[in-house]
Amino acid sequence: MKPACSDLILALTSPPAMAGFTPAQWDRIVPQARAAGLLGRLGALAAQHNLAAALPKPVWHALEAGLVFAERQALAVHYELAKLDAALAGLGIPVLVLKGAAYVAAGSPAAAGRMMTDIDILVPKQAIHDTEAALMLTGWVSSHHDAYDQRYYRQWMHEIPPMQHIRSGTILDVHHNLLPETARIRTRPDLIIAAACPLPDRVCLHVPSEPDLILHSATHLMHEGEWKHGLRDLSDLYALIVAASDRHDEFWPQLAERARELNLERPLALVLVQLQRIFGLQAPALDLPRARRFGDRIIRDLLTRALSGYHASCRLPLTGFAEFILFVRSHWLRMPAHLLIPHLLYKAVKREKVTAEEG
Amino acid sequence: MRLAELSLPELESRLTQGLGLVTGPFRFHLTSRQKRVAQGLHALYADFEIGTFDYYDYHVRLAHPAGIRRWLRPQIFFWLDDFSPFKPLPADHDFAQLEWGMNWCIAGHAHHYLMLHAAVLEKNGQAVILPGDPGAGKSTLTALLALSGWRLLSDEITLIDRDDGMVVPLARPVSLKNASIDVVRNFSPAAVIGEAARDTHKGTVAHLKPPAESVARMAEKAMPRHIVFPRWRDGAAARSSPHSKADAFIHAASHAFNYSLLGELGFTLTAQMLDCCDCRNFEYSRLSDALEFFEGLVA
Amino acid sequence: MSLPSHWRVPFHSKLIWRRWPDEDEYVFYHGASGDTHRLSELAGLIMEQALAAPVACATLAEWLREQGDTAPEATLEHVFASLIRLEFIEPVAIEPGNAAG
Repeated sequence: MKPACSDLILALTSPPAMAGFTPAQWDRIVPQARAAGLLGRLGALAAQHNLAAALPKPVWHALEAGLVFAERQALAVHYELAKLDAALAGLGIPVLVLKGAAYVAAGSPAAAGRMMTDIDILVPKQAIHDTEAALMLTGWVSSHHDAYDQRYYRQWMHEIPPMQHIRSGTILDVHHNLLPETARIRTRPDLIIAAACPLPDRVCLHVPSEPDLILHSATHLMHEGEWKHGLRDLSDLYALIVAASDRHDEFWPQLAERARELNLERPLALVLVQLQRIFGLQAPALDLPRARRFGDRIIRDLLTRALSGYHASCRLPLTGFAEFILFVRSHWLRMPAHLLIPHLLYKAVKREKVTAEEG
Repeated sequence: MRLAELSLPELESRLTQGLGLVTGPFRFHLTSRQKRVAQGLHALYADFEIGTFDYYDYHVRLAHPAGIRRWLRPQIFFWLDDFSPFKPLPADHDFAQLEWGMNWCIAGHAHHYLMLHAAVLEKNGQAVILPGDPGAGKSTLTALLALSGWRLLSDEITLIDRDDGMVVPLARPVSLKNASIDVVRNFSPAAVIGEAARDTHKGTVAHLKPPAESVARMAEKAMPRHIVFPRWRDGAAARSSPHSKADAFIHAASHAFNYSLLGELGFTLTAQMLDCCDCRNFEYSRLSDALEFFEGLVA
Repeated sequence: MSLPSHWRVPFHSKLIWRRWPDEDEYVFYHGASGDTHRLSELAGLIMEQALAAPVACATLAEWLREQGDTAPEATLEHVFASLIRLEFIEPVAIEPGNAAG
């Protein structure tokens, strides 16, 4: 099956090819990348390969705009993670950062130009209530007030209802497992937590080890039905796997072995098939379960279709950031809420000044 | 090729296929079957360059929703690619929606520029920025200055180029609201104003055609030299006073479309702009006083 | 007064600022949070010093007293409360005997 946007895939897998694209090719690629949340990635790749001057100016400006988003988000992620670390340090538990925020925190190749909608963390299941309480003390509030929603999340999911910071508007997903409680396969979050690497300069924040990060991202992609971010997530996995397999020879057998330990062989196998089909990833033959059954093959083909397309629904990557949501909802003229904050703080400083003068 | 070279029927037909329109640094690809959109473009964008290009910055489309609803209560959606950012509007607001939609495309995506919510005009090589406070009469003043020999750079979005700190023109029509439509119409017989859209979320809205010279010179950037905070007050004598740059900074930043998104670059560009600008408040009631004041600024 | 004796700019805050001639206010950009703040002259002057080297409350209070402030400790507490909230400054632990003026 030929991917629907092969020029976009070519740009992601062989960035120097971007210099050879015609304006007419770009006229298709840019909207596709924008819809898939991949403009920032293209911008980062073009910058890494010094291609800015080689691209038509308006094309570079479009890619640069995606990169601006991603870089601003990375700044916000670092800032929020510092706050989270301080908020949760007292619990004495390891807190794992997952997916997009983990790529950014760890400076991974998948961080380049990565746009994201929220921050995901994983904590030991027995600490979930303490974590929630500590977060609520530092300005995180549950975004689902409905009793049914609350019960749904708490009973059936592997996370508590998403929390939102009252000041920054950032969305936080707190997980205690990689898969819903109801999922057919079971994994071992305790092993992932035990193998995690502490982040420098942080008290309790960790990122999963490299294979675990890959396995989690693969599992997430295959189980959560977030197809609208599918191509972007697949491109993350491509970047992670290519960098890791280039770095050390033992990568592939170690990844397969770890997938066995965590009972995540099936999602890994599914993702590798998609990476080979859509991104042309060169992977050795691993001893992983093959799609033998007819049903599995159908799923595999449907996945290729779902993942290789791009989708209008994900074209606004900043959903977690109050700024952009407000911007769109208000038909663009009202002042974004978080910009009000410098204003309010300014008033506080001003008041101090007045008091000082009176004193 | 200029848009005016097409007859209205030719323009309508081109629009159903897609029309390339150049405004400042941006190329829009517009598709619409709406008669009012063709009429609005024909009246207000006559001097703009059109053409068929290989690459467009924004592919936009105005279209009815599918199904029976379009016959019950005609509504119109604005699309950028496959994404519709707004709720649909009544079909007779379609041209106004195109204007808002084009603004949204630029303000939400053109992050090569620092984008301030402000009008900007130029005379004698000096750009004068008018930040937009509701009720300040910014659009009325912009229209009057444009009709009095000033070069219109932009009515809603002031683009500051990150590479050189210069103001980049768009030269698109000026959006007029309610009473200001008649003020502008009465001010100059030369004013060409498009068909009004009534009962929009901003009241009655109509657009003023930009002067031909402003459109012809849309590739010419200008150095920001003045920031003026205008205030219209009934019966007030014309009065101007200095405005602190620190305050102008916070005002510009909190009304910008992408100040915080640009991070440190946003700070640097805003600070550099203020280094080059003289900042003033200006209170007035008579239009002739206002024109005299602005002439004096750039003399 | 209960303020710690020495203060510095947090290492990660990445502050940049501007003050224009003939104006008494400052505009500061806090690189870590991406927020922009406008500061009074006193707050700005304290930050200018803190950016150069850690500042001592006693020195600042002395300077304020010379400027005619009769309750400099209260003034500092007010200003510091804002600067702490903005994450512009943090207390620094200085060993006894190492304390600079």
